Amino acid sequence: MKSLHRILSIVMIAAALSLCGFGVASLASKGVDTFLYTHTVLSGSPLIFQIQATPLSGFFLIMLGIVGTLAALYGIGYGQEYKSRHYGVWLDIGLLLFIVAMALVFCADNVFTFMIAWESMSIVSYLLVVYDHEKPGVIRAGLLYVGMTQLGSAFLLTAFLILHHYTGSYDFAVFARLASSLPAGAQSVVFLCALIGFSTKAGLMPLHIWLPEAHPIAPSHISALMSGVMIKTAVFGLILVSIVWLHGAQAWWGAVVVLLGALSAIGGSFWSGQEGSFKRILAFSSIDNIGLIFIAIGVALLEWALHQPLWAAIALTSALLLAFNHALFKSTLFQGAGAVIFACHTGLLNHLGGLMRRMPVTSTGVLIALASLCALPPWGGFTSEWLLFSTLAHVSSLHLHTWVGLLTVAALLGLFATGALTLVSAVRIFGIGFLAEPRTASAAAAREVPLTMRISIAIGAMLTLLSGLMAPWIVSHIEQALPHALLGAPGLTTTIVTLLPPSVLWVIGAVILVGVLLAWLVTRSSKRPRVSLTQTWTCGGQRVPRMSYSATGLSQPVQRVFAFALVPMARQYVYRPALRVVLRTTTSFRIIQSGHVRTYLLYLFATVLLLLLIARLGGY
Amino acid sequence: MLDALQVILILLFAPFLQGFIHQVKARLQGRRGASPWQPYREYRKLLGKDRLLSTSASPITRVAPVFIVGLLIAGCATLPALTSSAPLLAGGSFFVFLSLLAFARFATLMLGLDSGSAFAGMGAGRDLLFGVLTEPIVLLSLIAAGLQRAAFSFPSLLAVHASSDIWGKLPATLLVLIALLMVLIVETGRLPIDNPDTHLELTMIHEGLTLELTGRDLALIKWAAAIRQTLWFTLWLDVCLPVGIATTVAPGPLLVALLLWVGKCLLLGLVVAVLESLSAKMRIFLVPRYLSFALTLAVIAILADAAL
Repeated sequence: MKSLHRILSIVMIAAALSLCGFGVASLASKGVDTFLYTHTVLSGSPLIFQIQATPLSGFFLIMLGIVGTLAALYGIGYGQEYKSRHYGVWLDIGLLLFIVAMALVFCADNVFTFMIAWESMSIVSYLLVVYDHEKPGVIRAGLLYVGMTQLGSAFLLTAFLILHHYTGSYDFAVFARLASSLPAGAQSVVFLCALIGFSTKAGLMPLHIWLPEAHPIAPSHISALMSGVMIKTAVFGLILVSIVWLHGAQAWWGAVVVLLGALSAIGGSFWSGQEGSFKRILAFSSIDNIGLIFIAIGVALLEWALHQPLWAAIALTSALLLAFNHALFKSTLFQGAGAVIFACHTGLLNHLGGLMRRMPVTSTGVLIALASLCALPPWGGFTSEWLLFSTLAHVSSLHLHTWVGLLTVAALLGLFATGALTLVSAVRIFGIGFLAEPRTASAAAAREVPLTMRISIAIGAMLTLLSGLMAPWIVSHIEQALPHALLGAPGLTTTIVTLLPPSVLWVIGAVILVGVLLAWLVTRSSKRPRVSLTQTWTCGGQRVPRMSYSATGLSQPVQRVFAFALVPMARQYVYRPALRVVLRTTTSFRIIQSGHVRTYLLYLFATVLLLLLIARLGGY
Repeated sequence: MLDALQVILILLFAPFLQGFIHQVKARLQGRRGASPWQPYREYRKLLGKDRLLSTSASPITRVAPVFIVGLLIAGCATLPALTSSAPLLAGGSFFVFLSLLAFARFATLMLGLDSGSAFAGMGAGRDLLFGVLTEPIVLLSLIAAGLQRAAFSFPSLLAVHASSDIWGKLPATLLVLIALLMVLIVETGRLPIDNPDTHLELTMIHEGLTLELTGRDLALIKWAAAIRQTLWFTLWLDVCLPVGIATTVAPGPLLVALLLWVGKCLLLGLVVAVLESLSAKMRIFLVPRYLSFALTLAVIAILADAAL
């Protein structure tokens, strides 16, 4: 079984790498949509299987390819965790199906293909989430996930059916041609349905409640793919519907998306600084990053509606850059969290500590990826937040005297607050989880994880740094993925070059290194100072590892100051009332449920009679 | 070249400014006080000492002090001190400058937590809280200063100041000035927020983080604190009192700018020292109230920009 597990993993790596190559090819096709494959399932019906790669889907395929390759590589070593379950062979098969389903979502070219791919992605990911079903709480979280997903799918299908009603087709190409000529009201309904549907998948507040439950309990490389790529399918979908098809027709759409994004960014980063388990912190941080991406998309919608295609294009570019960098660092961090759980059998920060000296490779990888999460220069996360900052600042200056200016300033405030709050969660993860001394026996017994897991984490960490240094180059390729109407915005390339000058990140990195060298040279004395080791000072008492600060204590000041915000808003004000309404409605239907077979036969008879009557009168 | 000169100037001047503030405070307390050159002597003394490392420390402790100073040096290269026309790192962008400072903060927190000392943890928690509160205020104030002309870097802000009278749009400038001064007191760890001279465990913030350091590492961290302080002073002067900053790179105006920059820094140091001597330390959980006032000022400054 072990060899089967290895073979499957290698097949997966090959598949993911070829997806990556395919993505590069379609991105490099200079805006030409590549027609791929079509197959009619049932002639004369809309059941046609049709896929097509656009430059935009090429960009997302590259993301999927990179994260998928690393996940498969990581899975080889991670299989040891499931020795008793055939080294997780079923997990491998599920992972392969998951990657294929996501690739199909990015390439779908009609409603039938899209919905099939979307639903298989959801169902396969549900099965992967409940893979560790014997652990407490997993089944419940899985049900919440699948329920929310179905809610989202219902809204998506509604959006597609409305589009079909007006265009008479199920083809995405037709939608792209005709959707912008729909009546304004219908456009808004389509947009709202798509927004609700996609933001459920993306985990945007207040539709996020499933994400912090479902992402942490999945096996870690699955969490990496879910947080890194799956929630980006929603970003892809929203860009497709609202920008490529509907051309961002109305300004208030953008405002709604910006506000929801800012809410998500602040809320997600705040909660990620309060959670106690490594993977839950990362899950909330995904909500925060999705919020930032939605802010950028919202600004793109807003600017297009206000006839500023240049800033719409730049905002969309920064959304894609944010998505790309988030995929890299978040998947690396989830893999790091998985390695910690693999080694210590716990992910609770207060039970960890001292891992930096016991697992140096994993810890260094996590530290490097955390630098990207915190947007520290010159990492990838920094470049995308810098571009978002510049975009928001210029847009607010452009519309200074209208509500748009104030809205973007509010979004800027959200961005800044998010940046500082993210630092809290990063310091807790590394400072408490990896530094100082182990707080429990299981953390003290931690050993470095298998080689393939280490390699995967190391490559991921390198990529987070490289994507920062190469950001201007990446951006120049992202521009190719923009929709046709935005690609031609005058001055696009030159403006982006002024916002993110080529080689600036290399210069920042070099100057930091020169500074470090200078500081080292200044303090280097001719005689080498003696280094002696002593215990950390404890006011004279005997030191025990529990004396170091805990993660709970570290975030207590922030928690105390923002205590007023510590209300589970979404649960209390959205989900509980909604649940109450559903229950009340269903209870009122209980009157007709007598439990006698005779009554039900009567219902059947009455229904048939009614249908016959309708058929007769309606002349069908 | 000129940029490197500015960096070296800040690096060399920073300890003097620290010593100067100390001396002014001593005088105000009726003591004679040490000479302003005292910090340099102290660094030399520390450099000659042995290093003590905690048994629980990882390689982070060995590299972090050098790294923090390196980041602050990069910060110096982003901020114009003498002239607005010398090339700066990343064009002197606000965002890059503050990200570099955030990076230095991150490294300092890691350094503190690495020893496993509870005092460091306490200081880290408080420093994180202050970071959460100050970062939005600083960026919002900086944006408010340049919003009308889309000036989001220090040189372009200075150009706006040079071309128009900054006192012409008095309300916004005045609000930004006060908000940034309030933040400056927090960020440089001064009374009434933090007391740089105390080692009383329960009140320490920045001192608590570096309690375990000795010898070379302690010298570097003290120097880093001095550089950080000078950077915040220079930032405040660039945004609120840019009088005398050279617009060319000719030697004459540069010399004037140099003298004026030193003078303004010392003047601001005097103000800070007087404020410190006049105030008692604030309870930690009153600081959010103090900072929410600064945030309100920054928000009103933005609204003033939008309205005028």
